[in-house]
Amino acid sequence: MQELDKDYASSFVKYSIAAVIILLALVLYLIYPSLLNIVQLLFSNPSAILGTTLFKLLIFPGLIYVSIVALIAEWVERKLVARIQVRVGPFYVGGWEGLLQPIADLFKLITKEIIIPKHADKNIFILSPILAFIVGALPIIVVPYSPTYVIWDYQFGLLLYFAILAFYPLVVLLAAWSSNNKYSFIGGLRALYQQASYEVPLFLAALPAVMLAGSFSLTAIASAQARVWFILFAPLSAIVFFAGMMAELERIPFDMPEADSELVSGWTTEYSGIAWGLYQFAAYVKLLAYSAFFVTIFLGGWQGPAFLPPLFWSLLKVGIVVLILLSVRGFFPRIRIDQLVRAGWGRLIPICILNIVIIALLQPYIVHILG
Amino acid sequence: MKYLDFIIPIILVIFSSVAAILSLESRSLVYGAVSLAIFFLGLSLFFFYLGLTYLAIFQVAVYVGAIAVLIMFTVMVVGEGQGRKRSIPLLGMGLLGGAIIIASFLMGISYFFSLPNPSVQPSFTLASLAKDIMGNYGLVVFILALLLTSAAYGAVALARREVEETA
Repeated sequence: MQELDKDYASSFVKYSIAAVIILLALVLYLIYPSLLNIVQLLFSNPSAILGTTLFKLLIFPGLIYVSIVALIAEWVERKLVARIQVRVGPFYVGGWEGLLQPIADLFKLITKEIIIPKHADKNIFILSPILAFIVGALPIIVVPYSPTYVIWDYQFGLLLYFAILAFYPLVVLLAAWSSNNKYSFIGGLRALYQQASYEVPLFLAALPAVMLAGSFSLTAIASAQARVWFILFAPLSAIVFFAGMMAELERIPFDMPEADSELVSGWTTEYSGIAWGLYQFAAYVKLLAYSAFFVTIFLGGWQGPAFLPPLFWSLLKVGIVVLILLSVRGFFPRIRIDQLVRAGWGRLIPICILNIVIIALLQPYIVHILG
Repeated sequence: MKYLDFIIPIILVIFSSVAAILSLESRSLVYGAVSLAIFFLGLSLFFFYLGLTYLAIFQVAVYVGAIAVLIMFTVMVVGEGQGRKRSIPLLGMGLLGGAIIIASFLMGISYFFSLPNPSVQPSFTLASLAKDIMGNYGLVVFILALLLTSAAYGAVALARREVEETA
Protein backbone atom coordinates (compact mmCIF):
# COMPACT_ATOMS: atom_id res chain seq x y z
CA MET A 1 0.00 0.00 0.00
CA GLN A 2 1.27 3.44 -0.85
CA GLU A 3 1.05 6.21 1.68
CA LEU A 4 -0.83 9.42 1.15
CA ASP A 5 0.65 12.84 0.71
CA LYS A 6 -1.94 15.13 2.23
CA ASP A 7 0.22 18.27 2.40
CA TYR A 8 0.71 18.22 -1.31
CA ALA A 9 -3.00 17.68 -1.95
CA SER A 10 -4.04 20.62 0.25
CA SER A 11 -1.44 22.98 -1.22
CA PHE A 12 -2.45 21.81 -4.66
CA VAL A 13 -6.06 22.70 -3.88
CA LYS A 14 -5.02 26.21 -2.80
CA TYR A 15 -2.94 26.80 -5.92
CA SER A 16 -5.58 25.41 -8.21
CA ILE A 17 -8.28 27.61 -6.65
CA ALA A 18 -6.03 30.64 -7.23
CA ALA A 19 -5.36 29.54 -10.81
CA VAL A 20 -9.08 29.00 -11.46
CA ILE A 21 -9.91 32.48 -10.12
CA ILE A 22 -7.25 34.08 -12.34
CA LEU A 23 -8.44 32.08 -15.35
CA LEU A 24 -12.07 32.99 -14.69
CA ALA A 25 -11.16 36.68 -14.47
CA LEU A 26 -9.29 36.40 -17.79
CA VAL A 27 -12.15 34.54 -19.47
CA LEU A 28 -14.67 37.05 -18.13
CA TYR A 29 -12.54 39.89 -19.49
CA LEU A 30 -12.33 38.22 -22.91
CA ILE A 31 -16.03 37.31 -23.21
CA TYR A 32 -17.32 40.53 -21.63
CA PRO A 33 -18.31 42.11 -24.99
CA SER A 34 -20.23 39.03 -26.12
CA LEU A 35 -21.82 38.70 -22.68
CA LEU A 36 -22.98 42.30 -22.94
CA ASN A 37 -24.29 41.53 -26.42
CA ILE A 38 -26.30 38.58 -25.06
CA VAL A 39 -27.80 40.72 -22.29
CA GLN A 40 -28.84 43.31 -24.89
CA LEU A 41 -30.32 40.58 -27.11
CA LEU A 42 -32.26 39.23 -24.11
CA PHE A 43 -34.35 42.41 -24.10
CA SER A 44 -34.53 43.09 -27.83
CA ASN A 45 -34.53 39.74 -29.68
CA PRO A 46 -34.38 36.66 -27.38
CA SER A 47 -34.42 34.08 -30.19
CA ALA A 48 -31.19 35.52 -31.65
CA ILE A 49 -29.32 34.36 -28.52
CA LEU A 50 -29.39 30.81 -29.91
CA GLY A 51 -27.09 31.90 -32.74
CA THR A 52 -24.36 33.53 -30.64
CA THR A 53 -21.03 31.70 -30.35
CA LEU A 54 -21.04 31.98 -26.57
CA PHE A 55 -24.39 30.19 -26.35
CA LYS A 56 -23.17 27.46 -28.69
CA LEU A 57 -19.94 27.04 -26.76
CA LEU A 58 -21.52 26.90 -23.31
CA ILE A 59 -24.95 25.36 -23.85
CA PHE A 60 -25.67 23.71 -27.21
CA PRO A 61 -23.81 21.92 -28.76
CA GLY A 62 -21.20 22.82 -26.17
CA LEU A 63 -20.47 22.15 -22.55
CA ILE A 64 -23.87 21.79 -20.88
CA TYR A 65 -25.38 19.62 -23.63
CA VAL A 66 -22.31 17.38 -23.57
CA SER A 67 -22.41 17.07 -19.77
CA ILE A 68 -26.09 16.14 -19.75
CA VAL A 69 -25.58 13.59 -22.53
CA ALA A 70 -22.62 12.10 -20.63
CA LEU A 71 -24.76 11.69 -17.49
CA ILE A 72 -27.67 10.18 -19.44
CA ALA A 73 -25.33 7.88 -21.38
CA GLU A 74 -23.91 6.53 -18.12
CA TRP A 75 -27.40 5.61 -16.89
CA VAL A 76 -28.47 4.19 -20.26
CA GLU A 77 -25.32 2.11 -20.49
CA ARG A 78 -25.72 0.57 -17.04
CA LYS A 79 -29.42 -0.09 -17.50
CA LEU A 80 -29.13 -1.41 -21.05
CA VAL A 81 -26.21 -3.74 -20.36
CA ALA A 82 -27.94 -4.94 -17.18
CA ARG A 83 -31.11 -5.79 -19.13
CA ILE A 84 -29.09 -7.55 -21.86
CA GLN A 85 -27.39 -9.67 -19.22
CA VAL A 86 -30.65 -10.30 -17.27
CA ARG A 87 -29.70 -8.12 -14.30
CA VAL A 88 -31.57 -5.16 -12.81
CA GLY A 89 -28.97 -2.36 -12.95
CA PRO A 90 -29.52 0.98 -11.16
CA PHE A 91 -32.83 0.74 -9.30
CA TYR A 92 -33.29 2.85 -6.16
CA VAL A 93 -32.08 6.45 -6.64
CA GLY A 94 -34.63 8.75 -8.24
CA GLY A 95 -37.76 6.62 -8.03
CA TRP A 96 -38.19 5.32 -11.57
CA GLU A 97 -35.57 2.73 -12.56
CA GLY A 98 -32.72 4.53 -10.76
CA LEU A 99 -32.87 7.49 -13.11
CA LEU A 100 -30.91 9.82 -10.83
CA GLN A 101 -28.10 7.32 -10.22
CA PRO A 102 -25.52 9.26 -12.34
CA ILE A 103 -26.17 12.42 -10.34
CA ALA A 104 -25.76 10.51 -7.08
CA ASP A 105 -22.51 9.08 -8.47
CA LEU A 106 -21.36 12.57 -9.41
CA PHE A 107 -21.96 13.91 -5.89
CA LYS A 108 -20.24 10.90 -4.40
CA LEU A 109 -17.18 11.42 -6.60
CA ILE A 110 -17.01 15.16 -5.87
CA THR A 111 -17.10 14.63 -2.11
CA LYS A 112 -14.52 11.83 -2.11
CA GLU A 113 -10.88 12.49 -1.32
CA ILE A 114 -8.37 12.53 -4.18
CA ILE A 115 -5.65 10.17 -3.04
CA ILE A 116 -2.18 10.87 -4.43
CA PRO A 117 0.27 7.95 -4.02
CA LYS A 118 3.43 9.04 -2.24
CA HIS A 119 5.91 8.12 -4.97
CA ALA A 120 3.75 9.30 -7.83
CA ASP A 121 4.85 12.20 -10.01
CA LYS A 122 2.42 14.61 -8.39
CA ASN A 123 2.33 17.42 -10.96
CA ILE A 124 1.61 15.14 -13.90
CA PHE A 125 -0.68 12.94 -11.79
CA ILE A 126 -2.99 15.88 -11.06
CA LEU A 127 -2.61 17.54 -14.45
CA SER A 128 -3.49 14.55 -16.61
CA PRO A 129 -7.21 14.13 -15.67
CA ILE A 130 -7.73 17.84 -16.40
CA LEU A 131 -5.91 17.47 -19.72
CA ALA A 132 -7.93 14.35 -20.53
CA PHE A 133 -11.15 16.26 -19.92
CA ILE A 134 -10.04 19.16 -22.13
CA VAL A 135 -8.71 16.96 -24.95
CA GLY A 136 -11.80 14.72 -24.83
CA ALA A 137 -14.23 17.66 -24.94
CA LEU A 138 -12.42 19.86 -27.48
CA PRO A 139 -13.32 17.94 -30.71
CA ILE A 140 -17.02 18.83 -30.30
CA ILE A 141 -16.26 22.37 -31.45
CA VAL A 142 -15.95 21.29 -35.10
CA VAL A 143 -18.76 18.69 -35.27
CA PRO A 144 -21.96 20.15 -36.79
CA TYR A 145 -25.48 19.31 -35.57
CA SER A 146 -27.24 21.42 -38.20
CA PRO A 147 -26.10 24.11 -40.67
CA THR A 148 -26.30 26.67 -37.86
CA TYR A 149 -25.55 24.59 -34.76
CA VAL A 150 -21.81 24.22 -35.19
CA ILE A 151 -19.46 26.08 -32.87
CA TRP A 152 -16.62 26.57 -35.35
CA ASP A 153 -17.42 25.87 -39.01
CA TYR A 154 -13.79 25.34 -39.92
CA GLN A 155 -12.37 24.75 -43.39
CA PHE A 156 -10.15 21.88 -42.18
CA GLY A 157 -12.55 20.60 -39.50
CA LEU A 158 -11.94 16.92 -40.19
CA LEU A 159 -8.17 17.32 -39.89
CA LEU A 160 -8.52 19.41 -36.75
CA TYR A 161 -10.73 16.73 -35.21
CA PHE A 162 -8.05 14.07 -35.70
CA ALA A 163 -5.27 16.45 -34.64
CA ILE A 164 -7.00 17.13 -31.31
CA LEU A 165 -7.66 13.45 -30.68
CA ALA A 166 -3.99 12.70 -31.41
CA PHE A 167 -3.25 14.27 -28.00
CA TYR A 168 -5.25 11.69 -26.09
CA PRO A 169 -2.65 8.83 -26.09
CA LEU A 170 -0.11 11.33 -24.74
CA VAL A 171 -2.38 12.17 -21.82
CA VAL A 172 -3.09 8.49 -21.14
CA LEU A 173 0.60 7.63 -21.20
CA LEU A 174 1.42 10.48 -18.81
CA ALA A 175 -1.36 9.42 -16.43
CA ALA A 176 -0.16 5.82 -16.50
CA TRP A 177 3.49 6.71 -15.96
CA SER A 178 2.88 9.24 -13.20
CA SER A 179 0.84 6.78 -11.10
CA ASN A 180 4.00 4.74 -10.35
CA ASN A 181 2.04 1.51 -10.47
CA LYS A 182 2.80 -1.44 -12.72
CA TYR A 183 -0.86 -2.12 -13.53
CA SER A 184 -1.36 1.50 -14.52
CA PHE A 185 1.76 1.44 -16.66
CA ILE A 186 0.85 -1.80 -18.45
CA GLY A 187 -2.63 -0.39 -19.06
CA GLY A 188 -1.14 2.85 -20.37
CA LEU A 189 1.14 1.01 -22.79
CA ARG A 190 -1.79 -1.05 -24.05
CA ALA A 191 -3.83 2.12 -24.50
CA LEU A 192 -0.97 3.66 -26.44
CA TYR A 193 -0.60 0.63 -28.72
CA GLN A 194 -4.32 0.60 -29.31
CA GLN A 195 -4.96 4.29 -29.84
CA ALA A 196 -1.81 4.99 -31.85
CA SER A 197 -2.31 2.01 -34.18
CA TYR A 198 -6.03 2.65 -34.69
CA GLU A 199 -5.62 6.32 -35.58
CA VAL A 200 -4.34 5.24 -39.02
CA PRO A 201 -7.36 3.11 -40.08
CA LEU A 202 -9.72 5.73 -38.57
CA PHE A 203 -8.25 8.47 -40.70
CA LEU A 204 -8.11 6.27 -43.80
CA ALA A 205 -11.74 5.27 -43.25
CA ALA A 206 -12.78 8.93 -43.06
CA LEU A 207 -10.98 9.78 -46.33
CA PRO A 208 -13.72 8.49 -48.75
CA ALA A 209 -16.09 11.09 -47.30
CA VAL A 210 -13.50 13.80 -48.01
CA MET A 211 -12.95 12.48 -51.55
CA LEU A 212 -16.66 12.41 -52.33
CA ALA A 213 -17.49 15.78 -50.78
CA GLY A 214 -14.31 17.43 -52.05
CA SER A 215 -13.77 19.25 -48.79
CA PHE A 216 -12.27 18.84 -45.33
CA SER A 217 -15.07 20.93 -43.80
CA LEU A 218 -17.52 18.80 -41.82
CA THR A 219 -20.51 20.98 -42.71
CA ALA A 220 -19.64 20.64 -46.42
CA ILE A 221 -19.35 16.85 -46.03
CA ALA A 222 -22.77 16.70 -44.35
CA SER A 223 -24.44 18.94 -46.93
CA ALA A 224 -22.97 16.86 -49.79
CA GLN A 225 -25.12 13.94 -48.59
CA ALA A 226 -28.44 15.60 -49.30
CA ARG A 227 -29.45 12.87 -51.79
CA VAL A 228 -27.51 9.76 -50.75
CA TRP A 229 -25.63 9.05 -47.54
CA PHE A 230 -21.95 8.15 -47.91
CA ILE A 231 -22.44 4.88 -46.00
CA LEU A 232 -24.02 3.45 -49.19
CA PHE A 233 -20.93 4.20 -51.27
CA ALA A 234 -18.36 3.26 -48.64
CA PRO A 235 -19.92 0.63 -46.37
CA LEU A 236 -16.55 -1.02 -45.69
CA SER A 237 -15.11 2.28 -44.53
CA ALA A 238 -18.06 2.78 -42.22
CA ILE A 239 -17.55 -0.65 -40.66
CA VAL A 240 -13.82 -0.02 -40.25
CA PHE A 241 -14.51 3.39 -38.77
CA PHE A 242 -16.98 1.89 -36.31
CA ALA A 243 -14.47 -0.76 -35.20
CA GLY A 244 -11.69 1.80 -34.93
CA MET A 245 -13.99 4.08 -32.99
CA MET A 246 -14.67 1.36 -30.43
CA ALA A 247 -10.94 0.66 -30.12
CA GLU A 248 -10.19 4.35 -29.62
CA LEU A 249 -12.91 4.60 -26.99
CA GLU A 250 -11.52 1.50 -25.19
CA ARG A 251 -14.92 -0.13 -25.11
CA ILE A 252 -15.58 -3.86 -24.84
CA PRO A 253 -14.45 -5.92 -26.85
CA PHE A 254 -11.42 -3.61 -27.08
CA ASP A 255 -11.07 -2.68 -23.42
CA MET A 256 -7.63 -4.20 -22.82
CA PRO A 257 -6.25 -0.92 -21.40
CA GLU A 258 -8.59 -1.21 -18.41
CA ALA A 259 -9.16 -4.96 -18.40
CA ASP A 260 -10.53 -5.26 -14.88
CA SER A 261 -9.82 -8.97 -14.52
CA GLU A 262 -6.12 -8.50 -15.34
CA LEU A 263 -5.07 -4.95 -14.53
CA VAL A 264 -7.38 -3.89 -11.64
CA SER A 265 -8.60 -0.83 -13.57
CA GLY A 266 -5.86 -0.26 -16.14
CA TRP A 267 -4.31 3.16 -16.37
CA THR A 268 -6.88 4.70 -14.02
CA THR A 269 -6.05 2.29 -11.16
CA GLU A 270 -4.51 4.88 -8.82
CA TYR A 271 -7.10 7.58 -9.47
CA SER A 272 -9.94 8.26 -7.07
CA GLY A 273 -12.66 10.81 -6.46
CA ILE A 274 -13.39 13.41 -9.08
CA ALA A 275 -10.01 12.84 -10.79
CA TRP A 276 -11.30 9.41 -11.79
CA GLY A 277 -14.68 11.00 -12.52
CA LEU A 278 -13.01 13.36 -15.00
CA TYR A 279 -11.61 10.37 -16.88
CA GLN A 280 -15.03 8.74 -17.02
CA PHE A 281 -16.57 12.02 -18.14
CA ALA A 282 -13.90 12.41 -20.83
CA ALA A 283 -14.65 8.87 -22.04
CA TYR A 284 -18.37 9.60 -22.46
CA VAL A 285 -17.71 12.96 -24.10
CA LYS A 286 -15.34 11.27 -26.53
CA LEU A 287 -18.06 8.70 -27.21
CA LEU A 288 -20.50 11.46 -28.06
CA ALA A 289 -17.91 13.29 -30.20
CA TYR A 290 -17.09 10.13 -32.17
CA SER A 291 -20.76 9.27 -32.65
CA ALA A 292 -21.57 12.75 -33.94
CA PHE A 293 -18.52 12.57 -36.22
CA PHE A 294 -19.63 9.18 -37.56
CA VAL A 295 -23.12 10.53 -38.22
CA THR A 296 -21.65 13.56 -39.99
CA ILE A 297 -19.35 11.72 -42.37
CA PHE A 298 -21.37 8.54 -43.07
CA LEU A 299 -25.02 8.99 -42.07
CA GLY A 300 -25.73 12.35 -43.67
CA GLY A 301 -25.48 14.57 -40.61
CA TRP A 302 -28.67 16.59 -40.29
CA GLN A 303 -30.15 15.38 -43.62
CA GLY A 304 -33.59 13.78 -43.41
CA PRO A 305 -37.22 14.20 -44.49
CA ALA A 306 -38.16 17.87 -44.37
CA PHE A 307 -41.26 17.60 -42.15
CA LEU A 308 -39.04 17.72 -39.06
CA PRO A 309 -36.20 20.20 -38.36
CA PRO A 310 -32.57 19.21 -39.22
CA LEU A 311 -31.62 19.35 -35.55
CA PHE A 312 -34.10 16.54 -34.78
CA TRP A 313 -32.60 14.24 -37.40
CA SER A 314 -29.02 14.78 -36.30
CA LEU A 315 -29.90 14.25 -32.62
CA LEU A 316 -31.88 11.11 -33.52
CA LYS A 317 -29.02 9.63 -35.55
CA VAL A 318 -26.43 10.48 -32.90
CA GLY A 319 -28.68 8.90 -30.28
CA ILE A 320 -29.02 5.69 -32.30
CA VAL A 321 -25.25 5.44 -32.90
CA VAL A 322 -24.57 6.04 -29.19
CA LEU A 323 -27.10 3.34 -28.27
CA ILE A 324 -25.45 0.81 -30.63
CA LEU A 325 -22.02 1.69 -29.23
CA LEU A 326 -23.27 1.24 -25.67
CA SER A 327 -25.15 -2.01 -26.28
CA VAL A 328 -22.15 -3.75 -27.91
CA ARG A 329 -20.70 -3.93 -24.41
CA GLY A 330 -23.33 -6.46 -23.39
CA PHE A 331 -22.55 -9.02 -26.09
CA PHE A 332 -18.84 -9.56 -26.55
CA PRO A 333 -15.90 -10.94 -24.56
CA ARG A 334 -12.55 -9.16 -24.53
CA ILE A 335 -9.96 -9.98 -27.22
CA ARG A 336 -6.17 -10.01 -26.73
CA ILE A 337 -3.96 -7.00 -27.42
CA ASP A 338 -1.88 -8.81 -30.07
CA GLN A 339 -5.06 -9.85 -31.91
CA LEU A 340 -6.23 -6.26 -31.80
CA VAL A 341 -3.00 -4.74 -33.12
CA ARG A 342 -2.68 -7.44 -35.81
CA ALA A 343 -6.27 -6.86 -36.92
CA GLY A 344 -5.63 -3.12 -37.06
CA TRP A 345 -2.45 -3.20 -39.15
CA GLY A 346 -3.10 -6.41 -41.08
CA ARG A 347 -6.81 -6.25 -41.88
CA LEU A 348 -8.36 -2.83 -41.36
CA ILE A 349 -5.69 -0.75 -43.12
CA PRO A 350 -5.66 -2.92 -46.32
CA ILE A 351 -9.48 -2.84 -46.36
CA CYS A 352 -9.38 0.96 -46.05
CA ILE A 353 -6.83 1.35 -48.83
CA LEU A 354 -8.84 -0.98 -51.08
CA ASN A 355 -11.94 1.08 -50.37
CA ILE A 356 -10.11 4.33 -51.13
CA VAL A 357 -8.99 2.90 -54.50
CA ILE A 358 -12.57 1.82 -55.32
CA ILE A 359 -13.94 5.23 -54.39
CA ALA A 360 -11.23 6.97 -56.42
CA LEU A 361 -12.16 4.90 -59.51
CA LEU A 362 -15.90 5.41 -59.10
CA GLN A 363 -15.73 9.04 -58.01
CA PRO A 364 -16.90 10.65 -61.31
CA TYR A 365 -20.06 8.49 -61.34
CA ILE A 366 -20.77 8.96 -57.64
CA VAL A 367 -20.37 12.73 -57.89
CA HIS A 368 -22.91 12.58 -60.73
CA ILE A 369 -25.34 10.69 -58.47
CA LEU A 370 -24.75 13.14 -55.60
CA GLY A 371 -25.70 15.97 -57.91
CA MET B 1 -7.82 44.74 -29.68
CA LYS B 2 -4.98 46.09 -31.87
CA TYR B 3 -2.29 45.62 -29.21
CA LEU B 4 -3.19 41.88 -29.06
CA ASP B 5 -1.64 41.55 -32.53
CA PHE B 6 1.67 42.56 -31.06
CA ILE B 7 1.42 40.72 -27.74
CA ILE B 8 0.27 37.29 -28.98
CA PRO B 9 3.39 36.46 -31.06
CA ILE B 10 5.66 37.62 -28.23
CA ILE B 11 3.81 35.36 -25.77
CA LEU B 12 4.03 32.48 -28.27
CA VAL B 13 7.77 33.01 -28.81
CA ILE B 14 8.48 33.10 -25.08
CA PHE B 15 6.23 30.06 -24.50
CA SER B 16 7.92 27.99 -27.21
CA SER B 17 11.43 29.07 -26.32
CA VAL B 18 10.96 28.31 -22.62
CA ALA B 19 9.52 24.91 -23.52
CA ALA B 20 12.45 24.24 -25.87
CA ILE B 21 15.03 25.21 -23.23
CA LEU B 22 13.22 23.06 -20.64
CA SER B 23 13.14 20.11 -23.02
CA LEU B 24 16.94 20.26 -23.25
CA GLU B 25 17.72 21.23 -19.69
CA SER B 26 15.23 19.37 -17.50
CA ARG B 27 16.81 16.65 -15.41
CA SER B 28 14.03 14.11 -15.83
CA LEU B 29 13.87 12.71 -19.34
CA VAL B 30 10.07 12.38 -19.16
CA TYR B 31 9.70 16.05 -18.28
CA GLY B 32 12.03 16.80 -21.18
CA ALA B 33 9.80 14.82 -23.53
CA VAL B 34 6.69 16.60 -22.19
CA SER B 35 8.39 19.96 -22.75
CA LEU B 36 9.25 18.87 -26.28
CA ALA B 37 5.55 18.14 -26.90
CA ILE B 38 4.66 21.57 -25.47
CA PHE B 39 7.30 23.15 -27.72
CA PHE B 40 5.76 21.47 -30.78
CA LEU B 41 2.36 22.74 -29.66
CA GLY B 42 3.73 26.27 -29.32
CA LEU B 43 5.24 26.04 -32.78
CA SER B 44 1.93 24.90 -34.25
CA LEU B 45 0.12 27.75 -32.47
CA PHE B 46 2.63 30.09 -34.10
CA PHE B 47 1.85 28.61 -37.52
CA PHE B 48 -1.83 28.99 -36.71
CA TYR B 49 -1.32 32.63 -35.78
CA LEU B 50 0.48 33.24 -39.08
CA GLY B 51 -2.50 31.78 -40.96
CA LEU B 52 -0.76 28.55 -42.00
CA THR B 53 -3.57 26.42 -40.62
CA TYR B 54 -2.86 23.35 -42.72
CA LEU B 55 0.75 23.27 -41.57
CA ALA B 56 -0.30 23.89 -37.97
CA ILE B 57 -2.71 20.95 -37.96
CA PHE B 58 -0.11 18.60 -39.38
CA GLN B 59 2.45 19.91 -36.92
CA VAL B 60 0.11 18.84 -34.11
CA ALA B 61 -0.98 15.55 -35.66
CA VAL B 62 2.50 14.35 -36.62
CA TYR B 63 4.85 15.92 -34.10
CA VAL B 64 2.72 15.90 -30.97
CA GLY B 65 0.56 12.91 -31.84
CA ALA B 66 3.31 10.64 -33.12
CA ILE B 67 6.86 11.83 -32.53
CA ALA B 68 6.53 13.22 -29.00
CA VAL B 69 4.50 10.16 -28.00
CA LEU B 70 7.15 7.87 -29.50
CA ILE B 71 9.96 9.62 -27.62
CA MET B 72 7.99 9.55 -24.38
CA PHE B 73 7.12 5.89 -24.86
CA THR B 74 10.79 5.02 -25.44
CA VAL B 75 11.95 6.96 -22.39
CA MET B 76 9.31 5.37 -20.17
CA VAL B 77 9.97 1.82 -21.34
CA VAL B 78 13.77 2.01 -21.36
CA GLY B 79 13.87 3.92 -18.08
CA GLU B 80 15.48 7.13 -17.00
CA GLY B 81 18.99 5.67 -16.64
CA GLN B 82 21.73 7.55 -14.82
CA GLY B 83 20.91 11.18 -14.14
CA ARG B 84 23.08 13.56 -16.14
CA LYS B 85 25.58 15.69 -14.29
CA ARG B 86 24.79 19.33 -14.88
CA SER B 87 27.76 21.34 -16.01
CA ILE B 88 27.50 25.02 -15.14
CA PRO B 89 29.38 26.37 -18.23
CA LEU B 90 27.15 24.36 -20.57
CA LEU B 91 24.03 25.54 -18.75
CA GLY B 92 25.25 29.11 -19.02
CA MET B 93 25.94 28.68 -22.72
CA GLY B 94 22.52 27.11 -23.21
CA LEU B 95 20.77 29.96 -21.43
CA LEU B 96 22.81 32.52 -23.37
CA GLY B 97 21.97 30.79 -26.66
CA GLY B 98 18.30 30.64 -25.69
CA ALA B 99 18.31 34.33 -24.79
CA ILE B 100 19.92 35.18 -28.15
CA ILE B 101 17.32 33.09 -29.99
CA ILE B 102 14.44 34.74 -28.09
CA ALA B 103 15.91 38.20 -28.71
CA SER B 104 16.35 37.54 -32.43
CA PHE B 105 12.77 36.24 -32.68
CA LEU B 106 11.48 39.34 -30.92
CA MET B 107 13.50 41.56 -33.23
CA GLY B 108 12.12 39.64 -36.19
CA ILE B 109 8.58 40.15 -34.95
CA SER B 110 9.05 43.86 -34.40
CA TYR B 111 10.56 44.09 -37.91
CA PHE B 112 7.57 42.13 -39.26
CA PHE B 113 5.16 44.60 -37.72
CA SER B 114 7.09 47.60 -39.01
CA LEU B 115 6.45 46.43 -42.58
CA PRO B 116 3.32 47.66 -44.39
CA ASN B 117 0.53 45.08 -44.57
CA PRO B 118 0.69 42.92 -47.70
CA SER B 119 -2.38 43.69 -49.78
CA VAL B 120 -2.43 40.42 -51.76
CA GLN B 121 -3.07 37.24 -49.79
CA PRO B 122 -1.47 34.15 -51.34
CA SER B 123 -4.18 31.72 -52.37
CA PHE B 124 -3.75 28.03 -53.09
CA THR B 125 -5.80 24.87 -53.20
CA LEU B 126 -4.89 21.45 -51.89
CA ALA B 127 -4.77 20.07 -55.43
CA SER B 128 -2.30 22.74 -56.57
CA LEU B 129 -0.22 22.12 -53.45
CA ALA B 130 -0.09 18.39 -54.21
CA LYS B 131 0.83 19.09 -57.85
CA ASP B 132 3.61 21.45 -56.73
CA ILE B 133 5.03 18.94 -54.28
CA MET B 134 5.03 16.09 -56.78
CA GLY B 135 5.87 18.19 -59.85
CA ASN B 136 7.88 21.39 -59.51
CA TYR B 137 9.44 20.51 -56.18
CA GLY B 138 9.72 16.77 -56.82
CA LEU B 139 13.52 16.84 -56.74
CA VAL B 140 13.53 18.71 -53.42
CA VAL B 141 11.16 16.17 -51.91
CA PHE B 142 13.37 13.37 -53.25
CA ILE B 143 16.52 14.88 -51.72
CA LEU B 144 14.71 15.44 -48.42
CA ALA B 145 13.65 11.79 -48.45
CA LEU B 146 17.28 10.73 -49.00
CA LEU B 147 18.35 12.99 -46.14
CA LEU B 148 15.77 11.45 -43.82
CA THR B 149 16.82 7.95 -44.85
CA SER B 150 20.47 8.71 -44.15
CA ALA B 151 19.44 10.19 -40.78
CA ALA B 152 17.57 6.97 -40.01
CA TYR B 153 20.66 4.91 -40.99
CA GLY B 154 22.79 7.16 -38.79
CA ALA B 155 20.43 6.63 -35.86
CA VAL B 156 20.57 2.86 -36.36
CA ALA B 157 24.38 2.97 -36.52
CA LEU B 158 24.58 5.04 -33.33
CA ALA B 159 22.20 2.74 -31.48
CA ARG B 160 24.15 -0.34 -32.60
CA ARG B 161 27.48 0.96 -31.39
CA GLU B 162 26.01 1.63 -27.99
CA VAL B 163 24.73 -1.95 -27.75
CA GLU B 164 28.20 -3.30 -28.61
CA GLU B 165 29.80 -1.14 -25.93
CA THR B 166 27.49 -2.27 -23.19
CA ALA B 167 27.58 -5.94 -24.15
